[in-house]
Amino acid sequence: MNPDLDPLNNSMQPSSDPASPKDSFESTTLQRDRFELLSAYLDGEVTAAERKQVEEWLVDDVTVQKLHARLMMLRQGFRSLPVPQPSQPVEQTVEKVLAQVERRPKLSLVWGGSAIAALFVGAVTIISPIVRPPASQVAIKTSQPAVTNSQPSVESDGLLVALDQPVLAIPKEATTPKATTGVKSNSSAH
Amino acid sequence: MSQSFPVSWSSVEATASQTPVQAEKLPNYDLVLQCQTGHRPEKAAFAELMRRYQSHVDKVLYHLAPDWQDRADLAQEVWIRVYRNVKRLNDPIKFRGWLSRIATNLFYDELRKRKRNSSPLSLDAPLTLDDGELDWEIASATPGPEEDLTTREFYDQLNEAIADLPEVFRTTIVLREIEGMAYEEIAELTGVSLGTVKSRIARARHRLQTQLQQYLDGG
Repeated sequence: MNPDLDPLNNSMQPSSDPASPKDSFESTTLQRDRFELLSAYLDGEVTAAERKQVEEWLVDDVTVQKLHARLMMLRQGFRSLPVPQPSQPVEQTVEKVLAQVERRPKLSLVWGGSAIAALFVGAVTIISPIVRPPASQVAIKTSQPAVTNSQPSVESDGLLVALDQPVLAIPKEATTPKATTGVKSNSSAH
Repeated sequence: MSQSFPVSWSSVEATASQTPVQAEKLPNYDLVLQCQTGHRPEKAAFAELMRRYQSHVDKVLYHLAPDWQDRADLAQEVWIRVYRNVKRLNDPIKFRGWLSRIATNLFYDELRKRKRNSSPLSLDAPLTLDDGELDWEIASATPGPEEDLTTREFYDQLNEAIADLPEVFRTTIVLREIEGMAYEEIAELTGVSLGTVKSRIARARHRLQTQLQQYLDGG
């Protein structure tokens, strides 16, 4: 159930019980379970049924009563444990921390400054190509509308023009002369 | 609508903007609130927050990493994280737990780094407190002289026993007893099952109560 019980048995073995070797394992397990339950009870980490069980032990069982009292003392010890002498005086800690948090914003300013500079450089490099392209972009933009504007008029003019154009313009300018000459030669052959 | 705001909000804002010196007089809750106002925590308020909670950070780090020599640096890093993230804390009442969590997370980050960098042998090395670096501050409400001695001895023994626990047991019991975390939180933080957390806590307690029996039975 508890994977860490066995491997650490050596270091965390419960105090030996003067029971006979035969039933020592059983009693140790029982003892361990009881102790674990009692410990969890102390922390309020038990189910209602477990609580009832522990409370019954506390009424009937002197050993459990004694253990419980001991654990309560131990808890009291933990809670009233004096604070160890600080490794450095409080005022020194205060001073150092405040110095650091005040230095850090400055550092962050430096970083922020360099980040802004980097942004600026980045922006310039991004903008500079844009600065040049405006001419071409404008040209494209102005030429595009011109095309779109001209298209409807072409279409409206008639399909004939549109049909004519591909034949002449689409295929490979290099091959067209040959093709046409071929056709011409063919036709001329006829 | 603005009238429905709790009084503490307005009063904190008023005091915060006028006299930062008054941070010392603010209750913890309002102090955290004050550190959350503005773009960054106000210097005086944040310093006061550190003064109030540094002992807690020390305690958490000490018990999680008793053999680390650079806990002062870790504590500083904890506070830098707090400084940066305090605005994200939704409920100022939970500041202490939140702070513990930051310290614990930082400890685990460091632990992972150190495990990667160090030989596995060093992890198995016993944790000792023999270097004499410890000097214990005794709580202000001191008991009588003879009682004082046994109490002091008990605390020394308890500290030593905690530090001697194998790492996984030590961290688990510290998260439970010193940081007050629930099993589920511990399981989530340490990446193990609830059953394992339960078992580790029980085992750690078992060992501690066995070692400290003479002090625990006396009470």
